[in-house]
Amino acid sequence: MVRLDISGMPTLEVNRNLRELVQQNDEIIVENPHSVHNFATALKGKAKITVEGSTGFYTGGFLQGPTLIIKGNTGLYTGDNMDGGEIIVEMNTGSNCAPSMAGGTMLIKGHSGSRTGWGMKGGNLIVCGNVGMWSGKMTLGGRIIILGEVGMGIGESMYGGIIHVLDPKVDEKLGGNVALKPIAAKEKKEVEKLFKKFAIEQSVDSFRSIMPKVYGRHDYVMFKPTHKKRAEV
Amino acid sequence: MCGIAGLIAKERSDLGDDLVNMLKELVHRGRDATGVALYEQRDDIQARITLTDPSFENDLHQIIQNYGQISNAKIYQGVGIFTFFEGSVAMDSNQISQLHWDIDSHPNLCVHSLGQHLKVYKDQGSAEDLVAVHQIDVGACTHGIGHVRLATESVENINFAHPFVSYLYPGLSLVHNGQFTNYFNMRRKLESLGIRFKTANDTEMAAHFIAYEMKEKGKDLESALHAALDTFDGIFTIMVATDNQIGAFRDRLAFKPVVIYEQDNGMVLFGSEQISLTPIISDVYATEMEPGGVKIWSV
Repeated sequence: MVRLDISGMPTLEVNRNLRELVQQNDEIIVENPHSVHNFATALKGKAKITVEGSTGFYTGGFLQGPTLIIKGNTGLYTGDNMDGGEIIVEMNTGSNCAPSMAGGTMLIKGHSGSRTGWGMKGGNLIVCGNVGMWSGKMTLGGRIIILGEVGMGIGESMYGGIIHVLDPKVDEKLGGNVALKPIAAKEKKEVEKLFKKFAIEQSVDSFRSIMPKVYGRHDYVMFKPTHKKRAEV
Repeated sequence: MCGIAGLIAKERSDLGDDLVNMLKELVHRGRDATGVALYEQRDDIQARITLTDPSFENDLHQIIQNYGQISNAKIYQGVGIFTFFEGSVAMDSNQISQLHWDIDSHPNLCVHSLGQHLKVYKDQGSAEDLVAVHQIDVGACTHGIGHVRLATESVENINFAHPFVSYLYPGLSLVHNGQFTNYFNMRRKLESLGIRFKTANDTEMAAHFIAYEMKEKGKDLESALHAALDTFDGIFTIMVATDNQIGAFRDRLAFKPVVIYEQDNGMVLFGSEQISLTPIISDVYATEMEPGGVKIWSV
């Protein structure tokens, strides 16, 4: 275990230090983050990094392997284009979390903002609190689990993937081109596995799943010309 | 980018400092210019005007003296090339619009604020540059709005910086994050109604449009903002303040952020980002305003 105090350290140097430490250590504790932006971006390896405080924008972007535990809040675009590993945020995050996430798992214990999991392609995203509008918008794959309330237009124009929600009023807040169904037995097992891993005490039975509509996505109306006789015109 | 912030707080003693501290946290959203519009609890008419050169002071005095007497006048150099005039004017409050028009008609003068409660401080650079040069000399305030600018739509000139005011409706101030795509059409339409523009900034159009809706059409702030939402095209998250209200509205795709936190004691905080609320209250869960929404808060 090694401790790294990043107070006053430029971001480039923070990430350079982390890259070196990840190769030699299993556990890294980061002190005085002071909401540093672009923290731990493009990190590879297997280490566990614990941040004692809050981090800023693009935390853990392009993460490929390490486990990142943030004891405070994170800013916008947390886990941007994340590829693998884990991000656990103990408090709230800003908007646009896990955009285009391709793999790995992200757990937000507090609330998140709007457009959470935007254009997600793979991996798992769990939000224990509420999310804002247009969450899971244009999702291509992966799994989003939301335990709290959802904002308007959830799953708007999804192409693939699945969103599990608990909010009883989700019917009123669905986006376009999505279907809402009770959770399937196969999905239940997957969600239970994730809940067990992260010690989330929540029954999976009352979840509902939001999926893209397979057919009838766009209702086209054929143009029907009307022929009128010359005299009527 | 650009960042906006606002605050309704009757109980806080130094609202000007609070708002500047909120804008300091938004410095990464733009440092071309920073401005605050503050609403004081006083009734005398105060003016804040820029001069391209101190030699135009006489011209300014001559224009104002047609309407009333100047007192507590102060002339000082801003952060950049502009000279600032600040002072009280003893005049008929019904003539504020006319005086505003007359001063703006002079090519070397530009009104930043002229009215009974409103004071606008704006200058180039960050919020720290603003307070280093300008003494934010206000008494007890009720509310205020602020802006940090990253110039995209017009030149880097402090007269083109936010908050904008309109001579049509003294007491109205407006900050905008975004761009209008129908600016020239709207400007032509407003100019055909006889409204004159001082700058080539797209936000000035928004200020004149809302002022026109309220003054000439007799609408209240809420219906004026609804009209603006239906008319404006482009990207906008806008906050408008009057002597007793703050209104906010957003375009229907909600491109530009604004988070709002309301406290039980009547305090309301607005900011482009959560971090801008931290100088007042740290670690609160602020909610984002809904797309295409119009909301009004009374002070």
